Amino acid sequence: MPGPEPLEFPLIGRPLRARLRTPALHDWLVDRWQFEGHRAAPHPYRITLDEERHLPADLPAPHPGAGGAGAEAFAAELPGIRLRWWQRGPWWWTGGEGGAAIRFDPDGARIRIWNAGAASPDLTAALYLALNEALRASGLIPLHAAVVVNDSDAVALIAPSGTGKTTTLLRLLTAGWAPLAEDLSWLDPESLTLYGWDRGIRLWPPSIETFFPHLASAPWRTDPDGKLFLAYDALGAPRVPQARLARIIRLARRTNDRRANADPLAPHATEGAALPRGDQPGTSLTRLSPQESVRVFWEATGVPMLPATRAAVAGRLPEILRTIPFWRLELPEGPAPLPSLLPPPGSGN
Amino acid sequence: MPRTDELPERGRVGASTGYVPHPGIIVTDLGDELVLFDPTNGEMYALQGPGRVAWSALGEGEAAAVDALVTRFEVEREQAAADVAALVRDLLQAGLIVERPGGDARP
Repeated sequence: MPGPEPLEFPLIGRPLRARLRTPALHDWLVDRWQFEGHRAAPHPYRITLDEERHLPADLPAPHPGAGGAGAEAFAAELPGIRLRWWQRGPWWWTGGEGGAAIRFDPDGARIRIWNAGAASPDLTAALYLALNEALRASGLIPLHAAVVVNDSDAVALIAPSGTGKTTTLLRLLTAGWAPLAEDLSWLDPESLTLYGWDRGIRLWPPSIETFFPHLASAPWRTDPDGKLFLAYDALGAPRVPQARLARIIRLARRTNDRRANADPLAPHATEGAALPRGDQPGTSLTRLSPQESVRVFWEATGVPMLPATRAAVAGRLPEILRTIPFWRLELPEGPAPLPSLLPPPGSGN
Repeated sequence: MPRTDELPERGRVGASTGYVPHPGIIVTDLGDELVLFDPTNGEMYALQGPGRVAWSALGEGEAAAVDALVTRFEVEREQAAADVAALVRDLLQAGLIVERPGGDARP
């Protein structure tokens, strides 16, 4: 096992310094958090990450699993995992024998994890959330969206799981758009720059067989959850590292299925003139009201753990809504929509 | 990410000098309206006009909200008091505000 040699790289200009003892965590950090090609100005917010063998004795409380009266808590949901965080003094904790704690200061965040072998995969999830919160506290906003780029503008496609976000992305790539992200990017609200934060697309095997049979022989890799992963380069669509956010489009699937009623944007969600596309029966592009734009935004970014970060993001939202138009694209039931629903690259729209 | 039940109980009635947004509610000021978003259930509420004016004054209590309405709109004090009481009841019922401890907010 390698010693805890520091690993240092910037996270969109924020310097990260990590000392990790567990090789798998080291590899995970590099794979999920170290992205080449981002051009971001240096930022004073510093993030440190230290892995320790045991629960650190100097942390101001026993492990947080006990909770306790008056302890402020926060529950974070990730696929298959629910993590509870407790605040004790300046530290937010999760876990127990193996766990993580994060402390937020004005000039940076300090993350500590311990006994990693006893806690995976929950510990990896905790570390993911801690790093997310650190970047949020530094002023960045995560955006869970598929993002495509034309010459310089990025269009973010937001949708609940299963709506067709990735298949829409793939269709747009074949029409000449470039990928910035399939699922996650970070938004700098000052410059409205989106930074891509993944390396390829993930699909369930039936989607490939049904919609993209020409990709069946591509070098897909099977992820632990059963989805297949294909790097952007293997798609023949090199990733654009960053671009200015120009539009947000919320995808909604038109269906007679009752589940459509669970989509909060299905009824009464829009205002303004719908823009039916004659070449795409059953589809429409409609401008969202400010209220619904607020909902879509929080859908896409999630709710920060820290109340102060929550308030800071909410404070940024009005300006984002004034600058970035939010649209709703209703898709027909069945195959993914054709890319003519969006203006072609270079059209300036 | 939903918060948990360690946060203040919704709709709790007690001594207060005013009302504050529930800490789990996200308030977005869109200029001509306030959007209140509850991430635990996805519910959204909008306050415009008198509702927004009253909301802004509720931190100082219901009497302050009534004063704000009477000052800003052509409305009788009695009607304004009834409207504020109804608004506070609705906001408490929806879990959007909590009483600020420390006194009686009642006008």
